[in-house]
Amino acid sequence: MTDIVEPAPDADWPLVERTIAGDQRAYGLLVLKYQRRIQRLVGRMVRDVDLVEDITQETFIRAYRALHQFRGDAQFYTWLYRIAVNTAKKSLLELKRDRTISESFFARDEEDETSFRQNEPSSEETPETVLAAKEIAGVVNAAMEALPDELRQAVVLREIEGLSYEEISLSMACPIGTVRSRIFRAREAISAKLKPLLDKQTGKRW
Amino acid sequence: MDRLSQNQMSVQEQLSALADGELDSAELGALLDALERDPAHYAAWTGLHAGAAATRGEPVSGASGDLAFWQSIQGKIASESILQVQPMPPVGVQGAAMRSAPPANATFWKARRFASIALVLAVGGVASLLWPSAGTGPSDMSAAPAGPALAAATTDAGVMLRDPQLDALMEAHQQMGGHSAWQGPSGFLRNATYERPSR
Repeated sequence: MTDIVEPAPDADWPLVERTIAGDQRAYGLLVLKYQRRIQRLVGRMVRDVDLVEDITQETFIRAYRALHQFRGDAQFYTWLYRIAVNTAKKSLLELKRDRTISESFFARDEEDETSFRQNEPSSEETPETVLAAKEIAGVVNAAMEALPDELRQAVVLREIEGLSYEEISLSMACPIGTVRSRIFRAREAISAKLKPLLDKQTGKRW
Repeated sequence: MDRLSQNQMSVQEQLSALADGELDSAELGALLDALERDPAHYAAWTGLHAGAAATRGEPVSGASGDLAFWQSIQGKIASESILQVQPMPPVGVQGAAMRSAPPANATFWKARRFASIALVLAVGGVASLLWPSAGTGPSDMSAAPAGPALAAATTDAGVMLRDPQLDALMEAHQQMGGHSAWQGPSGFLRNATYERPSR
């Protein structure tokens, strides 16, 4: 009997499965993984910082409640993305229906020409974020260049090409355990270079 | 077996493998236990994804995830779980239990039913004494050529005159099984419903 492992269709599936089985700690890892992405997504629809936080939280709570319905037909993030968009739309609709809020919340620009509409979708691209992205890309490229060949090859096959460990082990003619170790070491090296930059970003708005 | 054993892998190596969906169930359980023992590893998890995003050229924001954010969600989920765990008997069992237990006011309704029947019989007796020619039985009414063939039916509520033809029609066209199937008052249907004879 061959010990060939099918490539995982969704890297999140083990955590989803574990959460459905009742282990909340697994869901915690999913929340930590996607919190910032969901915040960025909601932040493109809603500009109010407090509302973004509330909607993000509501998204994860709704997703948890509905997780037993998730069958893995789509990627977990795709499913979560839809919940986030629907939650944001619902919140905006509720705000518009609430006359007491909407009069002050949606009509601020009439009172003050310099203020912007709080609920307008906006681009997250600012000169500052563009510069930061360039800086990060430069550091990552430099870190990749500095990696030993076997580590660089392993991490590129995984991160860029999206191959499974099994496929990488066949491609590099080495055991799966070695692939796992090489990818981890490569990530460690990249993270070490990247950490100061990311720490600098912490606290800034997504 | 090519895979490294759990003991050989550090927690961070396991996190790296988990990020790729390459950790089996037993290893995942052990990893979650390790994270619970030392929450500092959560930072490694979020840093891992930030690094992976940067490698792929995706937007990156913040090296560490917000553990407090997850903890607030966890609190809400935990309170919901407590609500969900409350034991609820199945509807069928609950219904059967309710049916088998006699209602608290059963004695009152039983006495009232007998009183109603006695009252109807007494009124009938007095009427037959006062107007002997009018007749009291349903046979007299059914004998009338122009009127419908009515029949007397004794129910819990007393004697009711029924039209067998109307009953047959209603039985053929009943959809909801009589007015008792309606949840609220439906006065406009009161005279055009069919109650099963067994009721």
